[in-house]
Amino acid sequence: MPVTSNLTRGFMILISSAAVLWMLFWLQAVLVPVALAILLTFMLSPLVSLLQSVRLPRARLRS
Amino acid sequence: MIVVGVAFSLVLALGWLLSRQVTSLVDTFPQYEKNINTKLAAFQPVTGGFVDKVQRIVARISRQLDKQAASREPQGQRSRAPLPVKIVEDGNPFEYPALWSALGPVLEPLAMTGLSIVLVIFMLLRREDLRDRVISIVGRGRLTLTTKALDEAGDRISRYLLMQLIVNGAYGLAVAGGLFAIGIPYALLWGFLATVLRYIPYLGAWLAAILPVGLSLIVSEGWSTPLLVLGLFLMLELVSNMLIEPWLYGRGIGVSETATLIMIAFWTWLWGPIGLVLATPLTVCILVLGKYVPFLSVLDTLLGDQPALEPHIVFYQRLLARDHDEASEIAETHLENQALVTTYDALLISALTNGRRDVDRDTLSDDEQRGVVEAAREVADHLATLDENKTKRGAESLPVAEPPVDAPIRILGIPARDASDHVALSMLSECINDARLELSIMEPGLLASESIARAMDYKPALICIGSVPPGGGTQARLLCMRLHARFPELKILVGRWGYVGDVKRMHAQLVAAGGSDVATTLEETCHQIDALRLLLPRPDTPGSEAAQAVGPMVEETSIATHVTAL
Repeated sequence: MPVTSNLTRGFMILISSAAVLWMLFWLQAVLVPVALAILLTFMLSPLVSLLQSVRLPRARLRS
Repeated sequence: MIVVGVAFSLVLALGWLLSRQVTSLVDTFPQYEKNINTKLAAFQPVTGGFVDKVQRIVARISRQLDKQAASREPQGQRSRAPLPVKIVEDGNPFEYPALWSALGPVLEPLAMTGLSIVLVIFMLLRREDLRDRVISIVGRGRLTLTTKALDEAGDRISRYLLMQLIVNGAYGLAVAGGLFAIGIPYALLWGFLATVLRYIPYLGAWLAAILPVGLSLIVSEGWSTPLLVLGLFLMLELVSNMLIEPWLYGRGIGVSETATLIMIAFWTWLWGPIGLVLATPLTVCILVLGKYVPFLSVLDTLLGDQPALEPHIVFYQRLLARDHDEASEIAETHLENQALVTTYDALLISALTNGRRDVDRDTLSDDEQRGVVEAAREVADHLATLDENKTKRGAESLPVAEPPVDAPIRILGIPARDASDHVALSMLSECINDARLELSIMEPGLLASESIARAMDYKPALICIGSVPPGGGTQARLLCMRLHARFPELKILVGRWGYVGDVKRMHAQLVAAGGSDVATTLEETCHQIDALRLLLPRPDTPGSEAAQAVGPMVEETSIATHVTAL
């Protein structure tokens, strides 16, 4: 029984990994800009915090 | 908005400057035509040499083969060979698909950049809101875990980016300075390019070197300048990789070098050149995910820079592999920072318990376990010698203590079952660093009655039963009961070293069986012996239990703490 359950688990992991890989490739056009934006946000965050610390207000978004 | 505006204006300005410099470089290109021709002429002998000969041979063979093929074809068939017909439709070359195919490659990166800029603006404006949303989606009910994971990912990526900025900025400055000193035009431009390209791990620095080296080939008359430029890049890369980066990164980002390389290859394969830039931060995120999500823990093991196995597991694994040298090295390294008793507890006792556990599981034969036990004994002896030498070196500066006048207090070590217990007791004897104590250990595998008889002969002030789990509890209890029944006043310590489980229950059982105290580590046993030391009777003290014991004394040596197989 444990052998069967291990096999099923391994198969599920394999299938999930393939699905994730396919999604990453298929959604490349969306994911790349998002990942790039997150990276740039991390880069620019300290500057934003610095400006906020010198009491420069943040722009408001109209909701 | 200001930050994004300033940042992207800076990027645009630098891009404009770069394009101006490149245009200027192209304009000045004809001035260096003579140098280029000279360099190309230098390659002429090569083209007329070996390569040229090989090319000529290949061409001759291929002509010969064509001739032979042509001669085999019948004359009529050759003339009637069908000609390929291509149908060309009239159409507007500016229709949509054609336009898309022409502009697509340009528009796609532009659209991606635009989307990224807009996303950055919104992400910076709504940082807190986005964070709360992520926590709300992922961390509902797991708030602490999600907060920790987000903090760690943010901390690692920020640290990575900051370090990259410092290292790459310094690298760019050094490149610009060096190229200016060598006399390469547009040194500032190449310095900036080096700073930007160095964000691409491993390859960036060499990509940045291509253009300056190429330019040096064009502008200089000889070969010394290009070699100097190449040397500059090589030197800077070595200095930054071997000195600055290790010093600055310190704690690092937690991803192993091998994993970084593999992940760079993976993300580049998946997402192309942009994957090269995003590979490290994405890998950090995956690593943090693996650390905090239990079913993804395999990722933390695969990608992380922490040792995959704990030292005691590596030590046991090396013993199993009969690699005693590496096992000794691991133990020696541990001993450098820890006391001898701690090393014994952490590595050797653990190896003995693991060996016994594997025998119980039938994954280790008795012979193999004996091998592990013997190897553990050898390593224990080796460590004791090393520790003794270390202590001697430390004590050289101190005044020499006078040897004790009184006879030492006798302690009898009784292994509850087998050689594992005997080795553990031997380790205990090495740890009792007191000249007034003498520990003698009985051979393993004796019956309880034989042990009692030997105890009567030896007249100990204290008995220490050694028992390495798993198992052995029954034997230890039986020995306790029999010894306590025979010597009710005698202190009996029980060492269940390496025991994991219900310690309180085990302690209660052994105390009920007649044990005075129970310890689960050698260190604890040492403390117990030390605490009892002043209360224990000496062999020559009249009226003591030891003095009242019958039978001859066992063989003694002048060494206070020693191991004797009785």
